[in-house]
Amino acid sequence: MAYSSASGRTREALTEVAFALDKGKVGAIVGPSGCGKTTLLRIVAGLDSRFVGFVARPEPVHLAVVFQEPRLLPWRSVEDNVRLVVPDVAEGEFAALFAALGLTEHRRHFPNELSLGLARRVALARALAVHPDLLLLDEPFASLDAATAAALMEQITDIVEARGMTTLLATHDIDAAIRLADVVYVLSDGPARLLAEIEIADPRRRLTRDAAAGIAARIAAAR
Amino acid sequence: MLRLLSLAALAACWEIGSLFAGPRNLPAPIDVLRRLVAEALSGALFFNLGVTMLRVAAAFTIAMAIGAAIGFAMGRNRVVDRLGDPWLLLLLNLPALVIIVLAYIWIGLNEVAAIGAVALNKIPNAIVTLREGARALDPQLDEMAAVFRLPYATRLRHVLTPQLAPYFAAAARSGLSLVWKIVLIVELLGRSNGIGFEINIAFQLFDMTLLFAYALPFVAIMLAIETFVVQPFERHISRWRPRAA
Repeated sequence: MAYSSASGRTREALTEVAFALDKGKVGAIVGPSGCGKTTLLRIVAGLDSRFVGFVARPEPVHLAVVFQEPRLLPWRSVEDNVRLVVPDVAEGEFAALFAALGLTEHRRHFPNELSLGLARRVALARALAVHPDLLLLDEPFASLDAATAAALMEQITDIVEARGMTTLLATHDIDAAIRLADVVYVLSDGPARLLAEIEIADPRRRLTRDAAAGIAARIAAAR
Repeated sequence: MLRLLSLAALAACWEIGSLFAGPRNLPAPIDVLRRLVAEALSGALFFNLGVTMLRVAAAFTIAMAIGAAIGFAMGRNRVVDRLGDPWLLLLLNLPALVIIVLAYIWIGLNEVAAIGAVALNKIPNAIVTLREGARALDPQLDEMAAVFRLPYATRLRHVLTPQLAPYFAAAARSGLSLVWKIVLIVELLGRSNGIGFEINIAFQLFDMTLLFAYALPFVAIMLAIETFVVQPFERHISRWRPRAA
C-alpha cells in the first residue's frame, strides 16, 4: 500500500505522507489529535475520495473497519449486528468469535445496553467476522478506562497473532502502538507529514521492556 | 378506570345538556343510540361506514406512498429539494377546500376526484415529515454499510428503513387523523354516499339525532384504529430505544 499527499476541500489534512505496509503486518499510525490520522484511514478505506495521491491495495481487497464510534445498528441485537455483515456463517465459528472477545453473554443485548468498551468489541467482532485481508482500526483504545483498554489490547494482540492479517491502526496512544505494531508511522502535527517509520524487530509479546523504551525514545526524537 | 369515569361524566353532561337545550338541538344519548341501532339494522350505517373507510384507506395509502417517496428524494438530494420546495410550499398553504373544489370541477364529481383531492391534501405533510427523516439519516451508518459492502436490499431493509420508520409512523398518525376528517368534507361536497353524505342530509333536515348516530360510530372506529393499530405499531418500531427517564 502506498499513499501520498491529500487535500480536503476546506483545509489540508495531510501532506507528504507515503508509506507501504507489508502483507500480514501491523502498522500503527501515531500522531497528535487532529493531525489527520482518521482522514488517512478513511482514504485507505475508500471512504474519502477528495484527495490527490494514490492508494494501492491488493485487489480485490476485502477490508473491514472498526470506527472510533462503534457504528452499530441500535435496533439490532449484538448478534444480529454481526450477522448483518455475514448472513450465513456457521454457529460454531460465531460462538468462537464471541467467546474470543468475551461477548458470549451479551449476544442478545442491544447496543444501547452496552458500555463503550463492549460496543467497540462488538464492532471488532463484526469486522473480524468478514475475515478481512485488511483490518483498519481507528483509535481502538480511545475513551476507555485503563483496565478495559488493556483487556481489549490483549484480545486484539491474540487475534492479530493468530490470524496474521494485515492491520492498520491509528492511535494517539504511543504505548499502545508500540505494543501492537510491527511498524510505527510517526505523523507530525496537521497538516501531517510522515516524520519517521520505525520497524519493530521483535513485536508484541516478544517485545522486551528495554526495546519498547528504545522505540518510544525514537518516536519522541522524531517529533 | 379513570378513563371510564371520565367517559361516564361526558355522557352525563350530554344528558343534562339535552334537557336544557331540548332534543331538537341536542338529542338525548338514548335517542341517538336507538337511531344508531335502527340505522345499523337497516344496513345503511354499515354501508356508509364501509364506503367512507374505503375512501380513507385509499387516500391514506396513496398519500403515504407518494409523500414518502418524494420526501425521501427531497431529503437525500439537494437539487430535488430545491426544485420541489416551492411546489411543496404552495401545496402546504393551499386550503383543503380549494383543492377539493378544484378537483371536482376539473376531474368531475367522481371517486377519482374525491380520493385524489384527499390524498393531495395529505401528501405535503407526508413529504415534510419524511424529508426530515431522510435528512436525519446517519451518514456514519451509511459508511459502515459501504465499508462492509452490504447489498443494496440489505441496506434498504436493515439500515435505512429502521431509521425512517419513526418518521413514517409520525406521518401515518397525523395523516390518518387529517385524511378521515377531509374525507367527510369531500363526501359532503360531492358524493352520494358515505358518512359525510349522511351528515349533509342530517344538516339539511336539521336531524341532529341522525348526525350523532353517524358521527359517533365513525369517531369510535378511527379512535380504535389509532389506539389498536397505529400506536402499537409506533411502539413496535421504537422498542429498541432506551426508555425516556
